[in-house]
Amino acid sequence: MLNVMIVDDEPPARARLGQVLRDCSEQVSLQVIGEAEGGIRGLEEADRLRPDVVLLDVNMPDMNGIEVARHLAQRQNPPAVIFVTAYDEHALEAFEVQALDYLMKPVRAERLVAALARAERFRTNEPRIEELAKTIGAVRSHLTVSERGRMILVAVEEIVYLRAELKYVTIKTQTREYLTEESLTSLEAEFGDRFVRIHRNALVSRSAILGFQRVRGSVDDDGEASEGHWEVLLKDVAERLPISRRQWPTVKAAAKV
Amino acid sequence: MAREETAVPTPRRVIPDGCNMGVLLRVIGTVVALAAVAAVADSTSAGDALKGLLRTMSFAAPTTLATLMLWCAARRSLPVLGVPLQRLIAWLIPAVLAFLVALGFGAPGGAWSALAHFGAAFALGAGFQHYSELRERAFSPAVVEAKYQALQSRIRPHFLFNSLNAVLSVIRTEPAKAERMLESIAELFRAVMADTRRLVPLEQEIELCRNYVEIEQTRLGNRLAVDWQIGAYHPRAKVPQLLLQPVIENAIRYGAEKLAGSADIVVRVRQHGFVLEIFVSNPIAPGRPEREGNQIGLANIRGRLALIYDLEAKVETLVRRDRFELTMTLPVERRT
Repeated sequence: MLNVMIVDDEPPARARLGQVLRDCSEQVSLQVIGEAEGGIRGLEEADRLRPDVVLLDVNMPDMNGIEVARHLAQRQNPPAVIFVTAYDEHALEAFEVQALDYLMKPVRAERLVAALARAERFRTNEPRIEELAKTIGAVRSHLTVSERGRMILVAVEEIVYLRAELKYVTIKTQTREYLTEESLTSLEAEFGDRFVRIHRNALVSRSAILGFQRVRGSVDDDGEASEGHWEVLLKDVAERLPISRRQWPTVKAAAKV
Repeated sequence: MAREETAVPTPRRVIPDGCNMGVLLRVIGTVVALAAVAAVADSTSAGDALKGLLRTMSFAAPTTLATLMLWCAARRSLPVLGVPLQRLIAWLIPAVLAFLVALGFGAPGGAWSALAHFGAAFALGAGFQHYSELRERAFSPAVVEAKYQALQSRIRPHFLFNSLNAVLSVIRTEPAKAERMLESIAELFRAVMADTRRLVPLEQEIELCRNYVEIEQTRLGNRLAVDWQIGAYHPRAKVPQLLLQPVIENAIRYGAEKLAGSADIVVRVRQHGFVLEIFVSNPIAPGRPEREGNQIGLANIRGRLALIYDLEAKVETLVRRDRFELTMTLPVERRT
């Protein structure tokens, strides 16, 4: 028995998929175990209900289907994903290339049966969905962070800075810190519009920059001299981060914009 | 379809229309101006210049007039020939005439002079024919039609498939509603396929918009609320078809569709004197205004209004407190 979940922001679209799934249930043993009216809600429900297959609308206002699939792919034993789209501007070709399954609205029962039969084979894996996102230039609105076995979504808008530590990258928001295994380089590639690199090990959100302060060079007790440098002052975060001499012109230019 | 009939190619005529008053005046004006410049450049006194001009015109005038007459006749009888051949004929007519006139008038210089006249007239004729061909192309009905066509409203595929899907979703549970939705979709299609220069009663356009909003409301559920503030307007007021619908569609697309919560859209229509004012406002996602796509839709509406009303219609937009506001004013048509 396949456990199926429906994620779509339009109520009639969910109702219609429900009807077609019921029609299919004579040929494929399945049950609809849940519905969600948005991407973020869909992720929460998928974590709670653990479906085998998620029928995922591509165009949703809070988080689009492709991003939902990217977050789902990071789960252990992720569900199979079948994208459902009314008319997709440019993603269809990329779906084909990455062998991701998709259906066009209005969905026909026969097509849905065929897709469900293939669901196992087309189980979304992380490299494929990441490749798809890269092809169409998709930028996530959230990062997935695993914390004591739970998956947490961190809104990219709320991130103040990202700093590479030994093995992980620290994600700093106004309220707390998280750790992620994603590399600073790949994060910079994806969110370069929103963040500016201030140091070899740190990206700062442009909108969080309050100003800069010059730190005088000094000589400490052991006689070690340190050169002067600039630090960035951040909105709502007392901590100051050093700006490397190499990045200073870039940071200064970015702050002016 | 009716539109395809007009697309049947008529043979292109590229020989200037010598019987057209505009062409006639331009050609004669050009010839007189050139002759005057040549005469002045070649003269030592005002009387000398006038004499020179008269001398040049004495053979330029018959050549020019004969050229215009022959162009006129050739244009009407020769369009069956290919375009390059027509052009060559148009260039040769003044050249041959100038050659013959120069020989006949016994211009000083004999055969060499006749050849020089041939060359000059050929160059002038070619220049004018080229200008005239470009001008006709720029003002041809096909080009103006194409401009309208480009600005014609289109159904967004996204809307089409989603609304068909919405109809399918209610067909089993609420057949009556499904019927009403299909009727509205059909009406919308009829309007989209018609010529958008057509003027329709304002009342009809508002009714079409209400039907359209009803489809969108079925699709988006309680995420879309529209506040209709329809004031008094002249009962026979007419507007271009699909004037208001694309504006509301934009509002829904960038308001309700992109927002996770519910969106309230305000539509206000009222008339002051002979001016109709249409105001539409929609919420936009705070912080990340999706202005770009909105602007494309807007440019289209502006372009259509400019083609129909020229400067008499105006579209103004404003972003205020996370809302996008559009005000459109246009003269009220009251043709009966």
